[in-house]
Amino acid sequence: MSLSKNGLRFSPFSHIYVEEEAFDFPITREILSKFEKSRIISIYNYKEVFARPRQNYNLQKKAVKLILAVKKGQFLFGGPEVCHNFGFENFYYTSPILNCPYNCSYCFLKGMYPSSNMVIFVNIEDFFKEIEKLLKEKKKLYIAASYETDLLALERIVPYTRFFIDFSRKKEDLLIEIRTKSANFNAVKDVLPSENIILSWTLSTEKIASKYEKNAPDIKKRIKSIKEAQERGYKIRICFDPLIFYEDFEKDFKHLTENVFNNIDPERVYDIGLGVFRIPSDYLKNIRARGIYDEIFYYPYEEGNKVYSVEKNIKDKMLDFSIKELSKFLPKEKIFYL
Amino acid sequence: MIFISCAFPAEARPLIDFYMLKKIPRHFKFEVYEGEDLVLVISGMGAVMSAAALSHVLTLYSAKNTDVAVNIGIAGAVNEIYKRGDLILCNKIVNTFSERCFYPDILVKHDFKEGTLLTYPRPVLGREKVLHKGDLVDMEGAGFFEAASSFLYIHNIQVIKVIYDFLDDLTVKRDEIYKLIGEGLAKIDSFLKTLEKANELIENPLTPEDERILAQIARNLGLTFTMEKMLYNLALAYKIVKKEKDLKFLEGYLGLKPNSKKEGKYYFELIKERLKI
Repeated sequence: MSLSKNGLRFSPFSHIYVEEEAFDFPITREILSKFEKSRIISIYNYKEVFARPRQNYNLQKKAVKLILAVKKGQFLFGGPEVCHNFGFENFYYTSPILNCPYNCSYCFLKGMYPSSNMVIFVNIEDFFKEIEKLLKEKKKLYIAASYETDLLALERIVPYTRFFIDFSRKKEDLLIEIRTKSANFNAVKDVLPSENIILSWTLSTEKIASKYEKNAPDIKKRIKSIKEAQERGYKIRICFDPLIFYEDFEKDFKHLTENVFNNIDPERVYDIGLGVFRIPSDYLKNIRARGIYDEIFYYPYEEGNKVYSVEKNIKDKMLDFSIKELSKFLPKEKIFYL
Repeated sequence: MIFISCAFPAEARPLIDFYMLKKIPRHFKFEVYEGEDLVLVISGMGAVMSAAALSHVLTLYSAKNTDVAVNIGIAGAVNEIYKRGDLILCNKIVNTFSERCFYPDILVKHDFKEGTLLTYPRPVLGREKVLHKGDLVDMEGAGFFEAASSFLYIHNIQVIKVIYDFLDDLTVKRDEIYKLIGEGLAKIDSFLKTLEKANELIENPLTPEDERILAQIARNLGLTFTMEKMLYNLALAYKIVKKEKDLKFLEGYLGLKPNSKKEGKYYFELIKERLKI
């Protein structure tokens, strides 16, 4: 139970909605065993709950419910243009979980999904089969598995990060990125690293993290987790994405990069992703129409290619500065930006 | 505002007394009662009547999506764990006629029992007549919920039932209903107040007064629908981003009455400039 600032008692995970078909999966039983006090409600299709009309994303975030479902149809999607492909040709993403336990103000999911409830697809083996099928077809594959969620943050509820690590082993020409803001590396510390996995952490300046990244661990804890993962032998990626403009951005970003590379070995960082805040125009319209009043969505942005972002001159200035700072620690070829 | 829907006068009476509601004489089809920030409608029996009555009052009072609607009434228990007088907050509602299921969004903590409500198109006598999986039976819940879903945020639509019988006797005794619902009113009231409070967290930063001024300016300047929407969005963004500032300065534009479309557009541009972040 969580208590809000105005004394209201919200009830996160008080209800778990389970598709009839999902009851038969061992992962369902494992998840349900962790929520003995929750009410289990049987549903036919996850969309009955997830896609209800007029849900309020921000209020639901205070009392998120779980939905356990069986994924059908398409499992893998071509990487969108607003995301980095990090130089890989066959870039796809997959979403074994929809939505994230954190509540970052700038999150595009607020415009993408009608609900902030979390859907866990329990047929993870089917995801792996689809990846194997596509790998066979494309020969080389780069997959982002944690774009629309934070798999590592949810590891204690459902151990999908370790499943992906184990699945990826010995699959040459397959690279899977697990992106996170969590400080939860301990949850997979015992798993033997895989050459085909990149653990990727998103970092922001302290000011942005404390203002916009509600519920996410602070930067210090994230850096500690990165350090542990690096020492364990994982490929590490660091994403400074989204970069958000404010007056002291340059000073704070410089401080952040120094802090990061004082703690972790830059030579053993696989690569870096940089991206200025951007959001598909449809998502921004949805957000504004759905009664979501986070400040970040109400600044005037420029629209280009159906994506809203800050003015080009500000964007260029932020990227130039960030690349210059990061180049002190890593070669430019390892820095990818949007 | 809170909208309460009951099927029968006997179910409504304890609420009318508790909230000291006054009957509004001008309504003919449905009996409507008003109190402080609260409206109660008596729908009559059945899901269709419940949907019609609720839609009627939500439209009549220009309900906002942050208003609350609750269906309160008696129900028959299928689940043997229930006792007479138990208050049940429905977490799943099945329209047994259309087979559609509805799932209320229960975000705040409460003191009720919970259960799956089966809405049947006719009174159910005997547990053997219940052909669906569920805990309790009524004749209105699904209609109420589906209608309210077209107007309000889903977390603001709730169905609370008081266990009255065990599908063994269809006789209805007014004084017993009054007593059973009456005994649950403190809990119901506390829940409704909590729901109202939760909505304060997601209130539109534009106040009704801001909206009135914006609408008046749009009328005075003869703005098109798109221009009016643009004005609204600019004002909203201004208020969200410039937190410490209010929109009182817009009152200064209320006196503008252009003589031509061109002049109207000119003033519109002036206001847009003033609302720039």
